[in-house]
Amino acid sequence: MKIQTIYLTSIGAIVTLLIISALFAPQFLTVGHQSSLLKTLSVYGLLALGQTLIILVGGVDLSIGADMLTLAVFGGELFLHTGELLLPIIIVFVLGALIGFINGVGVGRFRVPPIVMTLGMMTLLTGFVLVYTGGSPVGGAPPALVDFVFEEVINVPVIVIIWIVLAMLLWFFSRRTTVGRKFYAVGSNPRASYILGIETWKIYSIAYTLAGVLAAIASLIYLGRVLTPALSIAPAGIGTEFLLPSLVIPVLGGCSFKGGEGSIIGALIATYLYGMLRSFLLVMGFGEAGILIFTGAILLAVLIFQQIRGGRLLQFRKLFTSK
Amino acid sequence: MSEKLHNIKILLSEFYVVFLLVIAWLFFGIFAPGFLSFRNILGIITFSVILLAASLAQNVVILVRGFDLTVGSIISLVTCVLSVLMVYSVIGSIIVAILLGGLIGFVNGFCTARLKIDPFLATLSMMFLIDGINLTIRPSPGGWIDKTFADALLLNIQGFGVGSIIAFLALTIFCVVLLEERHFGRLIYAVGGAEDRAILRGINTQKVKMLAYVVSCLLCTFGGLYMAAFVQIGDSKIGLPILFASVTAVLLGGTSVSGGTGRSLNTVAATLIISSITNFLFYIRVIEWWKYVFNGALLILAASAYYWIERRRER
Repeated sequence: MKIQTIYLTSIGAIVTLLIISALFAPQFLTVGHQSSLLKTLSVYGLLALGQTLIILVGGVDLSIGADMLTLAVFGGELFLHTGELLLPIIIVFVLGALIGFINGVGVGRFRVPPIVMTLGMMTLLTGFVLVYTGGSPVGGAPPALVDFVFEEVINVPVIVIIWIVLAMLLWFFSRRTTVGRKFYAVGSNPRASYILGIETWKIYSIAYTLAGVLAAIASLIYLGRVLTPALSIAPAGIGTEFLLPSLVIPVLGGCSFKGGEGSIIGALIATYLYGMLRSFLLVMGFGEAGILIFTGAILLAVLIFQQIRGGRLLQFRKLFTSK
Repeated sequence: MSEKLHNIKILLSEFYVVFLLVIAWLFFGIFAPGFLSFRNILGIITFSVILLAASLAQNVVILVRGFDLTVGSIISLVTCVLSVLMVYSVIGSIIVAILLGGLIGFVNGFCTARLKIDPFLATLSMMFLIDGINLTIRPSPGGWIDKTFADALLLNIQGFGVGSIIAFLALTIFCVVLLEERHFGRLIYAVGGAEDRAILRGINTQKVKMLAYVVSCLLCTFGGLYMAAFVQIGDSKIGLPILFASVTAVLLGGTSVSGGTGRSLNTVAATLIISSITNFLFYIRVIEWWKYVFNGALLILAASAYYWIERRRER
């Protein structure tokens, strides 16, 4: 019931945006523009899927952007120096899963708060990449990967198909399998789940490992699209430009940071909404500043709306009067 | 004698980060002769004043089970506002910056305490908003900061940044006294430690939380003034590294994200550890980027050990 409201709201917002853009910027609705938008979104979308899984179990992953960029950089180097195709891909997948698994064990087994653990991981990965590359772009994508990334099936890019198929698989996994249901159980009440005999640390590890694998897939797509990954050395850590959208999208899709609430489909719809909004604002001539302000305002509005909807509608007046 | 030993043991467990800092300094001193010189240590303190302001701000908020992602953005905002408005009036621009800091603190506090939005998300959206405003008023780094204002804050005497050192000590004393000697500090620990019990005791927890956010943002504004004095331009992106460093410092300092435990002095020591690592790497002529590896590994190891021991103790 609750989740369906979120779907309807997001879809309503998308339709409104589509109508407005049809009026103001007709080039927006062409197949070419939409397909390029979806191609850009697929990287963000895959990361958002991983983040959604982690938020479902009640965690958060600040390292997901750094994770993706690290894998793209080392993957690119491996492709360039070995000249092989399959081996680097396998290594990237294994590394992604390993990074996720370490996060999961730290959070689940050592009880390190997710923010602490993943912030440490993000800093560590930033260090490795910057020390290795010296801050300059390195590595390169093999032609086969580039061809694959730009492949299209009846005007639909292959990477978009991969993204959506993975989303559907994860949705099935989270809704219809025992392990997936345990994600929701652990997210909404870890203590009760533990008492009921769910090994919570395994669930955390699975969630983080899956997110790591999704980051690995995203890194290969990213590598194929940009050929040589550029490191914007915000001294804070690499990959923040990917991290922040991955936090915004699940929230727009109805995830609660308390855990156990939200859905994969919601995140999928929210990814498109986020991309539409961003490119619409760009087309309308707002710069980076305008986009930031809009993102912040919309996020805040959604959060306030969620709070009001959660049974606090009647108390809304009280918010401004009572102690 | 045993009582004395017991006291030392308590002191060790309470302020273990301070001892960690001493060990780190000794270690660095062995590997880099000259590191432990008076001048170098004072230099480290001088340059960590901004990070200290941000870390102590983050500490206050984390103590009440909050989280503040706006610390970096506020520092950027202060440099931007000063660089734009200082042409008209020096005092006026400082007042505007402080008022803006207070206002952001109020909004953060209102969203998290009253509307009960997850602090991480509430401050994340505020961070987007403030960054957007920063980019609007200063699209590229530049502007003008009054030289006398910078000199007054930094107070360079014979190469020593006396002003920053005084500010460093003042911030430390202010936070230690506020959190551990004053009634307000007691309330903060009470609300962070067990909010429901604090409510039953008749504490207005929402007000305490809101005040915590306001104090935090004002501390950041103070840090922002120093940032403006150091770099002498306005830059809309200068605060972002401070954000992540401040979170690292607070968590390395043993403040628990579940609220109610953590000492300000440990945060100060953790800030100095982070600054010292950067300084040490500079001393031994290693690429500065190793500091990320050190910081990340240190954070993960310290946190794992801390929470592992904590869990053992609970059993």
